Amino acid sequence: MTDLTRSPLFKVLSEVKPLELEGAEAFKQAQRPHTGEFFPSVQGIDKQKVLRMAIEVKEYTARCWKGTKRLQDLNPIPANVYIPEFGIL
Amino acid sequence: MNIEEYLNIVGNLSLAVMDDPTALLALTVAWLDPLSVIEDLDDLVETDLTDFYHSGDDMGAALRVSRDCFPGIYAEAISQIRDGVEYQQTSEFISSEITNLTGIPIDEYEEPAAYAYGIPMPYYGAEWDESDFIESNPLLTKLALLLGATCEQVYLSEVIDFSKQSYEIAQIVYASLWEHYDNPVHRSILWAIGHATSQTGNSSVDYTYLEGSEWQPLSWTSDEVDYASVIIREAEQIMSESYDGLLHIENSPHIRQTLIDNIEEAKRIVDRLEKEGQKLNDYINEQNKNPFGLRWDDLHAGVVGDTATDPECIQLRMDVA
Repeated sequence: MTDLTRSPLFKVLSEVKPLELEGAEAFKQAQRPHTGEFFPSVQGIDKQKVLRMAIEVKEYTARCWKGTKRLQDLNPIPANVYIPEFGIL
Repeated sequence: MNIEEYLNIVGNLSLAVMDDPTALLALTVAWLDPLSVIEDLDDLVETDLTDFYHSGDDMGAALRVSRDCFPGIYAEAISQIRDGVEYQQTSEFISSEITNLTGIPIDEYEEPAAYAYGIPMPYYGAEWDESDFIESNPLLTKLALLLGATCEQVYLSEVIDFSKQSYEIAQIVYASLWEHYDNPVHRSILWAIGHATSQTGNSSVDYTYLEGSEWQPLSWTSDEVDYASVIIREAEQIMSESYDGLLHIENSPHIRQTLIDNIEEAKRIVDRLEKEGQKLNDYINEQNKNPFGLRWDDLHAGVVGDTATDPECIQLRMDVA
């Protein structure tokens, strides 16, 4: 059990830098904003790079999905909080 | 607002959206892996591939397999769909790319069936009870007869029968060639005998399609795709070299004579062991594959320009000289 409370936890999470994905950088590079095309084609990008980007994104999505599921499945933790309405500690 | 102004606004909005890390992340995921966005990941992972087949969703099966095992091909296929390429063409792109990458013969099957029932494997096993196989493989049939197999008439068809004795002869000759595995000529003959008598150890080479279809197929997961690919690539190499071996035996009297001499020697060994009530497998094992000392040295001088020099053998000949 850690003594981490809400505010330092918030501070830690807010200081986490945005994840830099090779795919995100390539997405920005491949964008041609004034053509009306929203998703650029991967044609012309090196095949090995496409493979790396796809694996990276797929693994990232799977990690996020697993993380979400684990948070949903967390057991309730008894809180050491004084609740005056009920007069209990 | 004219179209140019509209495109400018859309363009500026796109640039603004990309400045936001969360939006950029979401766009990247939607760009490369849209299935994870439009479907529940649990459903996506757990849906059985046969469900795609039974619902006639060929594209779904191809995308699912490519997403699971070939993310690069999947990303390219998604891009093609966005570019307006027809489903059929994209589906063919996925299957041909998988075949090029792994050797898995998806094109030889109806595509959805190729995905639905595990990884389809090629089988080259000698079908000695099929007259069509015998007719279309004359060189392999000649080798089988050379090894002591017999040609028998069953109803109106001719079949090849390997007796226990002929199989043991083939086993001795085959095992003795392993000592010379590094020499391409020896290896080609090794594989030719191995293919004829189904003892290469590669299931694609040793078993027929009918035999193979009785097993639980490998499933479409990355590890099993890698495993299937190794088997298939090795089988392709064995089959190619095996054919070279059959040509050597057919076209080089010198090689054929050496092979016949060793088959005769193996026959004497099998007869002797039978008389003495001994078993062949007590002699041949992983540590000693040529316990009877069959000699293949003469093969080195058999084919001009086709043989690899065996330094040990050259040394032997120099010593004799």
